Amino acid sequence: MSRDVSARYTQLLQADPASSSAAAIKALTEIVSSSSSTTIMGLRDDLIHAGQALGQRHDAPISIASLCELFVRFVTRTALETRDFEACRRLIGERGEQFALSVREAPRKIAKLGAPFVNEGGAVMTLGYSRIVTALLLEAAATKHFSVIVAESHPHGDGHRTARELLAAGVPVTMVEDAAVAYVIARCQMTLVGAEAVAESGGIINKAGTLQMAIVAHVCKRPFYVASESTKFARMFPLSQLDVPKTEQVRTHAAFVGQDPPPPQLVVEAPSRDYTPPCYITMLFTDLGVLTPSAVSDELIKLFD
Amino acid sequence: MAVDEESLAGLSPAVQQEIGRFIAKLRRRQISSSQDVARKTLEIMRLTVATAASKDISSLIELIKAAGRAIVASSPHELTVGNMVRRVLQIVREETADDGTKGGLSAPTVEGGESTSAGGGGGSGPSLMKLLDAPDTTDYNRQPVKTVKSPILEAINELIDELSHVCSHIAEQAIEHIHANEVILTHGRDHAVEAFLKAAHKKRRFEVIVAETALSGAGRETAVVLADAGISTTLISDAAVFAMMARVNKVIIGAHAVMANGGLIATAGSHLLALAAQHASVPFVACAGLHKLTPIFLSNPEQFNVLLSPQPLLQYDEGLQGVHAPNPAFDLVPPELVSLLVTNIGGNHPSYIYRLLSEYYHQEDHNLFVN
Amino acid sequence: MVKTKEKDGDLTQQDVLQAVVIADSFVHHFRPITFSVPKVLMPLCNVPMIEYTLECLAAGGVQEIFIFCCVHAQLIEEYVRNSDLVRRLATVAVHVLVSQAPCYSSGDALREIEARGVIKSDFVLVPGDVVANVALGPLIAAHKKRREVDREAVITTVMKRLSPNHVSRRAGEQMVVALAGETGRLLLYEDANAHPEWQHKLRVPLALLQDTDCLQIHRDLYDTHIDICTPELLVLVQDNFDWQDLRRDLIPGVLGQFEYLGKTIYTHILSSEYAARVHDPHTYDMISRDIIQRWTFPIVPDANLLPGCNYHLGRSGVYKEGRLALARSCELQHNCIVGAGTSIGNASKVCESVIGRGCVIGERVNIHGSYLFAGVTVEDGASLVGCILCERVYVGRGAVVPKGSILGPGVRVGEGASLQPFVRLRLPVAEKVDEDDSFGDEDEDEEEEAGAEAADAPPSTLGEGGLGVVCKGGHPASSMRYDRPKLVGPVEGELSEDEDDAEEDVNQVQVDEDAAFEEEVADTVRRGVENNHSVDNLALEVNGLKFAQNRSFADCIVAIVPALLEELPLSGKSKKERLTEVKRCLNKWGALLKRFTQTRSDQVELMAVLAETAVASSDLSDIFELILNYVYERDDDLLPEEAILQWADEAAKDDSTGRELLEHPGTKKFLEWLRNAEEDDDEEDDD
Repeated sequence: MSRDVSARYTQLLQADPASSSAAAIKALTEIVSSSSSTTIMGLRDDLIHAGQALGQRHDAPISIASLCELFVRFVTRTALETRDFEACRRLIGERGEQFALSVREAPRKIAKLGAPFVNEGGAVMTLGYSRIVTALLLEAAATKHFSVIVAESHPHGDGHRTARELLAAGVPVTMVEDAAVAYVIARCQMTLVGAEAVAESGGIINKAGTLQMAIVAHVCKRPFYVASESTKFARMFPLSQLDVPKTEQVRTHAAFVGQDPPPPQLVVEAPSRDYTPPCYITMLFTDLGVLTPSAVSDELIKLFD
Repeated sequence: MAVDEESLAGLSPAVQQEIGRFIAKLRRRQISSSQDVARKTLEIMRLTVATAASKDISSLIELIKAAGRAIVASSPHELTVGNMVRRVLQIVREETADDGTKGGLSAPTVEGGESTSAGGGGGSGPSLMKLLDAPDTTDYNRQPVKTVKSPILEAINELIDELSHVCSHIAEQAIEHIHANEVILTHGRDHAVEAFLKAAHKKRRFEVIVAETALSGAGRETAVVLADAGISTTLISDAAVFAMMARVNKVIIGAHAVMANGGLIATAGSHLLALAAQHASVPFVACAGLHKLTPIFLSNPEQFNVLLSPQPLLQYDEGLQGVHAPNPAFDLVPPELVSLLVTNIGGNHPSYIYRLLSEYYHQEDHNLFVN
Repeated sequence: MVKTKEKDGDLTQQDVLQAVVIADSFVHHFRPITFSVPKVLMPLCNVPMIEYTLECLAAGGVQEIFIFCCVHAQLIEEYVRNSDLVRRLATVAVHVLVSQAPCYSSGDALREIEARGVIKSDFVLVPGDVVANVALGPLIAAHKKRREVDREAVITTVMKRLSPNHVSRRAGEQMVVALAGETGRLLLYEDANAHPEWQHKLRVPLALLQDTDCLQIHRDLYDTHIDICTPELLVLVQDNFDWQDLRRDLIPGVLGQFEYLGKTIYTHILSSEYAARVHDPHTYDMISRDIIQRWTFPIVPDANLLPGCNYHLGRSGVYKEGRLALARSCELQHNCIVGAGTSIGNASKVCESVIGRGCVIGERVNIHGSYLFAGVTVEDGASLVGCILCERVYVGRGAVVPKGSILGPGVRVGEGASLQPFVRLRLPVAEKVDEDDSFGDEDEDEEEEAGAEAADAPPSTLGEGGLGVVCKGGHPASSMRYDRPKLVGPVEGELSEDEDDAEEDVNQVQVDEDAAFEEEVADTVRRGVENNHSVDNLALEVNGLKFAQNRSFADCIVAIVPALLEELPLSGKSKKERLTEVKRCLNKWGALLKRFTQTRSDQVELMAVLAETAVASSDLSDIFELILNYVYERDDDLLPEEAILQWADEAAKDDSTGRELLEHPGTKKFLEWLRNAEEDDDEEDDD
């Protein structure tokens, strides 16, 4: 079962690499439809197992666990309404499809919400690659003239992908290294990043380098905006960087690529993610609307109470 | 944006005439107080609802939106207009929804049952909870307009009544915030602040320092009014604010509008006042009625501001060419500088504003210009 | 609550505030634009000029507006009909009155309006091209209050303080205005250009000073052409059918007739409000800039007066409408207005200009201080500085349109063309342009001229594919960007605003005039004596002079006596001979003197002048008392004793000259004798 779910998830992701949340939801929905259980509790257990299986994949988004928990709760609630198991299963299937569809619509909604915030004639700073951020900037570029400064996000260099997509639309792009963010911040009017997960406090977990950009923006009094779908809202409350979930990614430390291997006593750390506390975030653009960090907590509390 | 002629066509001639007159008055700046603007807007809304020929609720909503759009488009900086239109729309939706559930329909389309409505304010608009539920299908076309018209009109009347008590409700809270022998700093002219200070003066002795708000001279008028009421008042120039801040216990100002993030749009010079207050660790209190609460996040700080004539700044007679003299009427105060927002329903922290938004406005109405 | 129509009906006719807008300026500063469009519908910052006037009136509470038009009346009527003015202005009624007879001036217009009988009460009178943010309500209230105090007030005119050197003044306009300080009554309204002798001195009639204690003479007032008038003004204009222009004829006319009609004009001086009138392209330029810089707030481009307008104000005073296609590197530098649907290419610079809707601007174009109406096309590399381009003008690649030019609708400037500054071009027309019927003849002449000039103008100035002929317009000084010479020196020091100084000047003038009169009379008398005219004839001549110069009898006496006495051949003769001579003269010419001494004061004057002349002259002084005796003894009672004694009393109280005369031994003796004689007479009477 778990392998099935994992395989199915991979399939769906390959078919539409755009949204991992949509793929996960579809996979879980299919579990429901194809499950052999005859009781709600059985269905629930299947889903929990599947969720765990997905969560253990190394390329799973951090919020996958929350997504699964959301789905499980939904199942429980739906079950309370309908007595008939089959009807319930069908309903869940339908709703799941709808949910996946609405998740696919999220980038467009967010782009429409966030595009007015880009200043005409100004410069936007961003980091790495985020589908939502790129969609937002392209939407703004349709009606305004502005330029973008991209931090390349070493070592994966996702920033180059952003730059390519924006240049194709005629937006002038400047590429800087992550270390030069503080150097160029004075030229920007705002900072915009995506998020891999939005914590309950309203802070975000994103590629390493995001926290630095947020602190620099805060010091230079530039607004720091985050664009993310609501499915990324996770039920976690990190208090420090140590609470950021570790990922299994194994990679060579960039400094040592093409160099001699490090001496044995040298401790080499290569964190891939960091946590940005809500005090540095001005606003979040989500498909639920434009939210302040405190509003995010509210939403999550309402959901998980 | 300009007035869309076709959308106005659905409105009755009386309403169109009233809207035309109102727009002309706003354009000529013959109505100055936010309360008057709000009251006039509600009266026009009431007239629209009363004379509406719509058969169903959704076209009634469209009609109200059309009327609202016409006025908002002509004076985009009068945010109170849009707020009142949204309040009326929320009233319409609420009355309709009430009737719907009273009708006792147990539909296969579930609206989240009790938990959603218990969520109260969270019931309107998308939320995480409702993501997996059926799309919000409050079928507005279910009931005829006739049955809900009079409750709607009653609710609008209540709202108008509430408006007239805004200042007194704000003033009632004065005692909690102003203590004996305090020094209060204020500027500009705001009826809510005046009422606030006068009410506190009845029970406590305190001093007020007023910054003159140079170009419009509004601060001077406030000083005169307060002095007439018997409050010990000192008038200072705007440049002296920083120097005087060390002696001040609280800064209390009025606001033109409160934005969705808790930031304020207030008289020009308020941002400076707020920064000086922050530097001296002085609490910065804003008094604003709920009709000034706007569910808009300011994307562009310049979009709300009105530039007045350079006349008080430069003399036309001087004949200076090539000198650009912008004279903004308003300032944007970011939410982190505001300590407390005193409204007619109580005092709140700016970060709480988004909660009030969901109570009073429906998510779909936030942007009146989108269908 | 519905504002019902019944409420409007309740208003009595007295309460309806009316206004008259004269939609024709009767001058031709804006040719060739005004060939096809009336001046009041010309766009000013992309809004027809008349909208500004109407907005100001409606904001001031005017409820009934009459727009009076002569030229292009159909266009104005159509505009008013189609633009839903009543709803937009939130006023009660807008009527268009079309002139039925040819009107050559605003005076004619007012006479026609009076004939229609539509004006019921005090009304606001403005031309259709005034831009103002004046609050009319308080002005009208003040006017009404003043009427209660002074029933003869007919106009309250609104003026603004503007220094004479101010850049937005019309060229060559120098108004001198005198006001009564306490009431604001207008006493003098003259154009300094009409009085070349007023360079350093100002002539103020004495009568003005008698009316007021605080006379203010202003050279820094600018006439805004906003008047609040009473219906009597219309009657006045009707009566004086030669009054044409409101400012040149009407105001000086009313002021001049003050003595027998008693109608008064008051002035209100604006302190912080803005008002200005578009006279010519220069003022058009200045007022456009003022509107862009928001001096006319709240009547500004982003107030969106017209339906369908959607201007937003951005940084540095740039107003933009929607649907613009601006290239990334184009610059809207500052103080511009760009209308919807316009596209501007790369590297173009637009500064301090107004661009209408649907214009196509190419690359590397430089537009500075220009005004483009709708649908203009400007190709790459062109340069427009300080010009006005009407609808559908085409400017070719690399063309240069210099300052002060006005290109009429549809004109094409070819590639690489370089025009002369201050040129006005229009499309050549096949048949006669029907600009205004009244000026039919003039038009023909102009067309011929234009045709001739076009024939003369070589096609190369307009470049390849250019199309247009030169049109005669106003003086370059009325054009935009004309470098005007500044008025010489500071004005305040030279022109004294002191009442005393004004009086001194007046006195000086008076003395000069007196001397001239005396000279003339003396000449006449001498001639008469020489040629031995009869008394009657001489009297007639002197009388004539007296009436012509409005003199009194005393003045004549003062002139005649010295002339008579000084001409006598007295030198070298004995006392007795001299006395005979004098007696003979007085015998003959005494009757003349008698003619000019009608009253006691004349006689006193005669005595005075006799005394002066006699004492001054060596030949006469020693026989003075004998002369006096002779004159006294005459049968025709030329100089009775009462007169002599009165003079003596006055002279005693007088200053040194009088007393000197009294001290003269001859005078003293005579007076003594006279007084004794009197006593004798009195004693005799008593008996």
